[in-house]
Amino acid sequence: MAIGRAAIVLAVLAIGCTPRAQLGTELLWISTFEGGNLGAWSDPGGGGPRSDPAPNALEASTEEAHRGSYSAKLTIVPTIPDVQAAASLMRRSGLPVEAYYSAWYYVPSAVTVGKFWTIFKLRQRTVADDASTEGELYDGNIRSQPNGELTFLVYDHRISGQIPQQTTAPAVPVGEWFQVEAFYRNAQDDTGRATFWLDGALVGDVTGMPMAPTPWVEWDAVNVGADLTPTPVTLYIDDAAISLTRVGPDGILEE
Amino acid sequence: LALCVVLAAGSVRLAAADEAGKPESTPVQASDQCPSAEAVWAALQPVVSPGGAPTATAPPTPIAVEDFGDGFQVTVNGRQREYADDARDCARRARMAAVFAALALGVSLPEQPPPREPAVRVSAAEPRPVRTRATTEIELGPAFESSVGSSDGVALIGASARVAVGGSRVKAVGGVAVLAPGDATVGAVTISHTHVPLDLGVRVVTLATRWELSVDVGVAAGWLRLRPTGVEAAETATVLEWGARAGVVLRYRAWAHLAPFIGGAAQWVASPADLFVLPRGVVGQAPRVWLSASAGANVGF
Repeated sequence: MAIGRAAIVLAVLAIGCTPRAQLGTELLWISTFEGGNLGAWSDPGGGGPRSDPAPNALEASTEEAHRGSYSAKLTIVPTIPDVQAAASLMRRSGLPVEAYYSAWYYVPSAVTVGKFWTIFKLRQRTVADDASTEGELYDGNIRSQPNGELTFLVYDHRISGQIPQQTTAPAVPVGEWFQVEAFYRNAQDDTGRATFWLDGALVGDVTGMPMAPTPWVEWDAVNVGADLTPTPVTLYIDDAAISLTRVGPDGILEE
Repeated sequence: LALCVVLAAGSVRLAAADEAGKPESTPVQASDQCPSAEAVWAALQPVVSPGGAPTATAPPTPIAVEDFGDGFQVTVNGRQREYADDARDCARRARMAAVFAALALGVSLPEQPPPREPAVRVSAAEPRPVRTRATTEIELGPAFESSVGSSDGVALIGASARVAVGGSRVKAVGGVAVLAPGDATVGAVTISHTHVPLDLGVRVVTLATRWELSVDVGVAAGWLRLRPTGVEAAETATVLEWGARAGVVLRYRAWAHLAPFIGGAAQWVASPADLFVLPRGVVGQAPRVWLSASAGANVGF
């Protein structure tokens, strides 16, 4: 009798327990900060965590977290007018010609953007193996609206202007995590493409044109700005990933 | 031979007499139609009623005849005999059963000895209920399998083997197949499948003539290997599946121990595995239902 009951229980459990077949990953790199440090961003190619000048700072923090316990806390104090303050997490070694770049951000309190505030960057080199030829390409920026709300846009340094927006003034939430993701195919011909999403919604899509002059790619998750108030300006970053397929807001970085 | 002639003539006469009216009952119990109880009883009439006229009087001892497919068994008055008959000549079987019954009942026969048939076994055991002879059958052949329920169907080919052990009507049955890799696209991931299904159950023979139809039902398990391609860091996954299986098998008993067969089956998987790829998560499911077909040779002994 007891064996029969046990068999029934096992059968019910078995029906309710769906096995999982782990078939691999399209993720090339992730940083969840769960080690309590910024070590995943160490980059022999010259990237890594960087803040300058003091008192701008980066650290792993448990104050906020998208998943798990830790995130990166990037604090800047842009007190000098028209002079940018920066705290950056940079990846530049061996990035593929084509990939998705994703990170989650948290703005803890309202900020008024005077000159600019950049949180996401794609950079270029005119000579792939010459660091002195580095320059800006695309910036993911937060801008203040007249009503005080924050919005997201993408700035193209080659044209010194904003790329066409697919969504009008997409709102950047304060006090909530949001995701910025880009697909970047750094082709030097008409197959080049750069596509940007905010919380899964398409923001801009530049396609059918060359991107950087060389295949060299740098991706940064940053807190860089000038004329921001009030100061200091803190930005939390978590669950960063480079992937061969789109991560999206529901993407899973690790089990 | 003379006895057979007499019995054959009697069968013809009884057939004519049946037009007027069947006996109220026969003492012959037959498990199947080859031979039928009526045919055995008809063949026995000239012996138990020497005048050749049909009679409704049954001998006191029942006569049991059981059809084994490629042979039959007669039990009467504590005596038992089995005959091999691959050809399944039902009229001839009836005559042979009648001869044995007549001898067992002590009915006087012409001087000629009864025909020498390929008797399998004669025993003087106590009368007992009609039994089922245990047989073993092995089915071997190529197999084809296709999935139902996954995002994209997968077709596999390989080989299958099934073993059935038991009586002529009901057998225990088990099977295994090995099916070669086949590709399917699930959630934009191409996955190579290798499937080794196993099952254990019961076979019920529903039609037992030269064409034999049987139904298999039982529990099923399976070993499923999934090997993705086109994933940056691909991992081969192996899942164990379980559920139920139902199938049909049609055999043609062309020879005594060898019969070609064709079969089809459906295997239901209770909990198909979720197919998981980072960062997308669950991209699809392993097949919920497998449909299979096989053909080949059935060897019985």
